[in-house]
Amino acid sequence: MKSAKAEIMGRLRKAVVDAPGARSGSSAIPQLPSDPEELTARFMRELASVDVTAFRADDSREAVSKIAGICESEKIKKLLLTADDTVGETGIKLWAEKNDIDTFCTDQFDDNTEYKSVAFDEVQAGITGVEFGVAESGTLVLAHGKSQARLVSLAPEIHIALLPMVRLVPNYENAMNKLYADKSRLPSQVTFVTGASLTSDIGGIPIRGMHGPCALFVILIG
Amino acid sequence: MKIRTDEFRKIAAEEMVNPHARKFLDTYSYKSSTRRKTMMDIFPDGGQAKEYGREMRRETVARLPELLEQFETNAVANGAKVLWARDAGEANSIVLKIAREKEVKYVTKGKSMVTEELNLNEHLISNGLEAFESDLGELITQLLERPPFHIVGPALNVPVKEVGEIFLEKGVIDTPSTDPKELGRAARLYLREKFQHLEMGITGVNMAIAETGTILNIENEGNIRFNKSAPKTQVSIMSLEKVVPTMDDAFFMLRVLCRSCSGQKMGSYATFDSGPRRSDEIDGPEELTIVIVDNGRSQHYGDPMLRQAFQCIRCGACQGACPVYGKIGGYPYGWAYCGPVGQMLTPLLLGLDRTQDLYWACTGCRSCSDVCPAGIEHSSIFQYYKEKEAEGDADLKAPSKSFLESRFFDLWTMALTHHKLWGFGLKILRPLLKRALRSNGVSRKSLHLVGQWMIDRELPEIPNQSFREQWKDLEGEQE
Repeated sequence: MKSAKAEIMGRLRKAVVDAPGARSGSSAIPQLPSDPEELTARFMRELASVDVTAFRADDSREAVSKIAGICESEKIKKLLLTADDTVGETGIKLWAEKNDIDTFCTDQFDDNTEYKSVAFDEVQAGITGVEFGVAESGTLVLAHGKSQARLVSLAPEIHIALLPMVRLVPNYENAMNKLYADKSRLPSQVTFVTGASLTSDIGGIPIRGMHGPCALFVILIG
Repeated sequence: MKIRTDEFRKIAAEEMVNPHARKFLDTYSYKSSTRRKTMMDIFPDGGQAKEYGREMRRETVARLPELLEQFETNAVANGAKVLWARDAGEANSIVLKIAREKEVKYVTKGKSMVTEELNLNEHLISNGLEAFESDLGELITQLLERPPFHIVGPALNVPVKEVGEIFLEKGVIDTPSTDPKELGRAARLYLREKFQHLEMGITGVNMAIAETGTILNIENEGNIRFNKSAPKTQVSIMSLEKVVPTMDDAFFMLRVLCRSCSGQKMGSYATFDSGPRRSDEIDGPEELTIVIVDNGRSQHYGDPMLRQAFQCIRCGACQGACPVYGKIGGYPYGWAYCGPVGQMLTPLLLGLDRTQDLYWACTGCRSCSDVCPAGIEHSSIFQYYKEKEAEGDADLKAPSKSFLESRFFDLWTMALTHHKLWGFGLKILRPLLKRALRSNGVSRKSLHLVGQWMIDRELPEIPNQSFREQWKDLEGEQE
């Protein structure tokens, strides 16, 4: 007996289909400014348009002061951190220790159950690095792996994202061409984050914070 | 979901006077078209961008077998399992088998029209599992046991009060509420507990990228992210036509899809999965199974007119443009797909005999085709269905015609092709019509044999002689 695939593909292949012609139109990638400051300004405007609160920080140390401000205003007492370099370079753990704030890092967990319990029930915010920022829509690109765990930017109520300015690019293609350059080592998952979680399913009324984080803060470093 | 395509007229009549449906529909078309036009204008050349999308979808469908092979090869190389299902029964059995192997008690599911088509939830529930819709709109329609009202917002017509009542009844809230934020928050907490202990999550697929073996989902809420990343087992279900050739093609379609769907440049979350998690990751699924579903599509792939239907990207732009949908909303279409998408797909998949009212409910205005980013000529497909119905096409399960109707058109054809017979028939009919005609219009009772056809038509006053007879007399006078 033929397999399901063989039957289905057999029917598809039996069909006589004219070979498609070349595409005559243009793919029309939105054009953005090449000047870095203009690009940054565009990125900031796009972030604002999706209700993201964004800060500029000259360096990692200043980034910590921005994080401190967020923790105070949002009454954050427990943080979950990804194990990536951008987060590590801020020295956030040291600051947290001095300021009576608990931190958990994804590389400290052996057990997925304990990790999920912390992500869902314990912490008020997750802090991650960002692989790329995309100016065309104010999108953060997270390439998940050992140092960029998935739930850190999803389960806590607040997501704080640290984006080094050198990683700001105009379009999605710029980011993904780099991430997918080596087809034998693709990230298991890449997430585009454009604003906090959103729904309009009750009466068409937009509400921020459905299943994902209720608020997104972005700190641009450099 | 119970199929109610045979109740189209009854439900349409109800919805046309339903105040909740009217509240949404009476402003929907204008808002969606204004928003969509504004967002498409950001392309350097909006018209060119639209044409490119259309060509891409036509090309993709023409290359479907090759692209599906490429996708499967690359997805398997990433570590995913790829399984094929001839029909709903096979697809549902695959999902149930995985659930049993993993000994899961419940699943959560992201919004996925193909899983509605398969009736997956009912299959799992009847086999002892719990199945929770995790998209807020789908959760509401699941609790209310209704079909989707709208392709993107399945419960947009449900008043807040009714949402509060069903949430109270089903235990999503403990105290009554009509505050949308409170209700949204309650749904968040209700499902959050399920996500935290989730063992198996089910999603649909917006695009399957052949070049890299990657599946892509776009959403605003975050529930699909949880369905993928919280459990150890992820099952993602796609119909054949979801494949796209390259990552660049996916980005182009993503830009068009978000703008056409909801007027956004990008949804809150887009996730690209290339296999399960790697061995050193702390979260993500240990197993990713992709189920490719046929369910009646491949048998029509050889028909160039019907093949257009596979170009659809489920953006819902056609709904916003359709004057019929704008009057009746989604319920009358009676199944997983509503609006022009439903008029196109439902007859293809269920057969013409169950769906006549759907493809006949078209004004031929072509507003749907004008806005379609995938280049589909919807009304030409509906016309094709009518032709196939008249021909009694067995492949499309055309309904059998009534004896009277068949004999009438046999006589009609004979009369039209024999002018002396035509003339003789008119000589008999004319005095009968004149006797039936009153000054205020035609007597419908006298013409009851042609029934509905005369509801909106009035005959002019019928002269004593036909044009030919008058001409013959005039010629005679001149001689």
